[in-house]
Amino acid sequence: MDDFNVTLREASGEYRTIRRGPAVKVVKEDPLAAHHALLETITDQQIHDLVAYLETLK
Amino acid sequence: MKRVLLACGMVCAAVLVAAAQTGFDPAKLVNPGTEAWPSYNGDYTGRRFSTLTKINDGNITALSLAWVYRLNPGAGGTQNPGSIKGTPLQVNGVMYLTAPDHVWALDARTGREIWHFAWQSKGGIHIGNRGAAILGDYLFFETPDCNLVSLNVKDGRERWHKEICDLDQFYYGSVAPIVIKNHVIAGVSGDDLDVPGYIQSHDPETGEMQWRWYVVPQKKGEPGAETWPNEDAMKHGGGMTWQPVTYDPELNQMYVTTGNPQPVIAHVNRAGANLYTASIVSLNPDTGKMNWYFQSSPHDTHDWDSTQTAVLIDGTVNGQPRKLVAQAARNGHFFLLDRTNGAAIVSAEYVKTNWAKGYDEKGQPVPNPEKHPQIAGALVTPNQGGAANWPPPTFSPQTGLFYVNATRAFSVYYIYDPGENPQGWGGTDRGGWGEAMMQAIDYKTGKVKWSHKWEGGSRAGLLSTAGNLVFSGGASSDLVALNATTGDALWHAGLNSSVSNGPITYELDGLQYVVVGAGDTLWSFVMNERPAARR
Repeated sequence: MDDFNVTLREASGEYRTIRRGPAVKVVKEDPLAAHHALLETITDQQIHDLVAYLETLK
Repeated sequence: MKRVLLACGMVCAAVLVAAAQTGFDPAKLVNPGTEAWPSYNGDYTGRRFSTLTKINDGNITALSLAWVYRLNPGAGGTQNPGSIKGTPLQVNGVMYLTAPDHVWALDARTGREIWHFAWQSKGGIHIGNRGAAILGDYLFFETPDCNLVSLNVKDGRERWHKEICDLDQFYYGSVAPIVIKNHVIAGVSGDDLDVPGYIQSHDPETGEMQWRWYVVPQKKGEPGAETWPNEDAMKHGGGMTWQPVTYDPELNQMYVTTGNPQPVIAHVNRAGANLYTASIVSLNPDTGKMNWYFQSSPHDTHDWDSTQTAVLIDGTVNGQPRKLVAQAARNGHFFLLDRTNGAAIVSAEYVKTNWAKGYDEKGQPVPNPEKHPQIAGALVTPNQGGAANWPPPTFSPQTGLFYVNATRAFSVYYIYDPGENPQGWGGTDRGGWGEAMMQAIDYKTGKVKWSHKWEGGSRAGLLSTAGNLVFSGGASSDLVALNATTGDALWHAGLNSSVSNGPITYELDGLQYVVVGAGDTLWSFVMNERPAARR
């Protein structure tokens, strides 16, 4: 996706490019958005604790 | 028919040679006009702003392709010349394009190659070449194996070459030299070993070195030595001069932007501010003597050089005309200084950061020790690549906006050499999520007036024009034009690769061109139609 086109590969495998314009509304849903938002609040200690926990899962 | 073709060939050749044989009036380096782009930034100010309006926000959609040139190392070329990371020069209808070990002269109207020079390299890091400098009939450029080379613009033949650094210490040459009066100003590159950065001046006629200024003090008692723990640390303190300087002829001050200190990440053996690394420094170009400094990143520990262009602005502050210099630094902070003395007027974030506790009395950021690299890791934004990097910004006097392609990214910085005397890097970062955008900064306040997000990222250099346009690389290997006032996307053209330098513009035969590098290809666009009424 850029300022001029949106390209989709649908579940069926079909590839489509749609030219953006006033009649085209684009809504982007990012499944990782909550993770990105966490970067603003997570502390270094929480990261260290998380990594230590993940190490125990080996 | 054969005779006609022959005659045409002779005429065409004559025109070609005439264009190539015409040198450049040194006086025009100060005011080059719109028909030339004779230095890295187009002029001494670093603004990368053109007064041309034939391409504007009302007719940009009619911009069309003029020609394409793909880097050609020649029949004897043994090395891939890589990407176009330099800004070409354009003088008297001839374009001078560089890549590591290579210079090409091209016909700026057609893209045809006039001559090609290939340097026989002894090695060095071939990561990129930022461009050449021109003075009269002489061309100057740096090579990865530490040479400053001068060519004759007529035919590309070498005039002289001078060693400017020590290849065995992993220095290399990549910087675009800048000509100031009878000085060829050349910086140096390299951050694999802990060696001192410097910048030096050479005689354009003979190539002899005129002076050298070390970024870091070389012995106790020198200015700045008090900001290092000992002589060994300062002598190995880094601070490369990766980028071309800017210059104010009235003040006779040139503005050098300096690299980060070494060791890069592990830092316990270099306690102190580590002057004059990560700074904007004003030097006298005739002597190499320092006038003043401003340190953008005191005691940097994140690989944030401050070599981003020091852009000269003749503006107003509180209603008073001022000589200013502005920088959007790699550390995420924008600085506006009085360029006569280095006094800070504005210090502000242009992307949100988390590593500084505020500003000191000089307007310099105060690092938060908790965000220095840690053995267990410290989450820091921006990441090592920085909020901005080497691609040049632009400033439009028309809009009063300073434009920079910015990245807001996070990474965790680690120390992996916890000893008392680390060397080299001694640590690194591991990256995470990030986003890219163009920031349009009000130079008087440091506030972001508008932000244009690049889906998928962009780190291209920029060009602004009086046609109310800003040109940039976009997110889809394209060249994009934005409305300089609003940030709205107006036009784009798909290229074969992401934009890899800063676009330039000039006027020839009444036509305005925009030229940009993308990977190994130079693309030239032209406005063929008459200027449209502005919207």
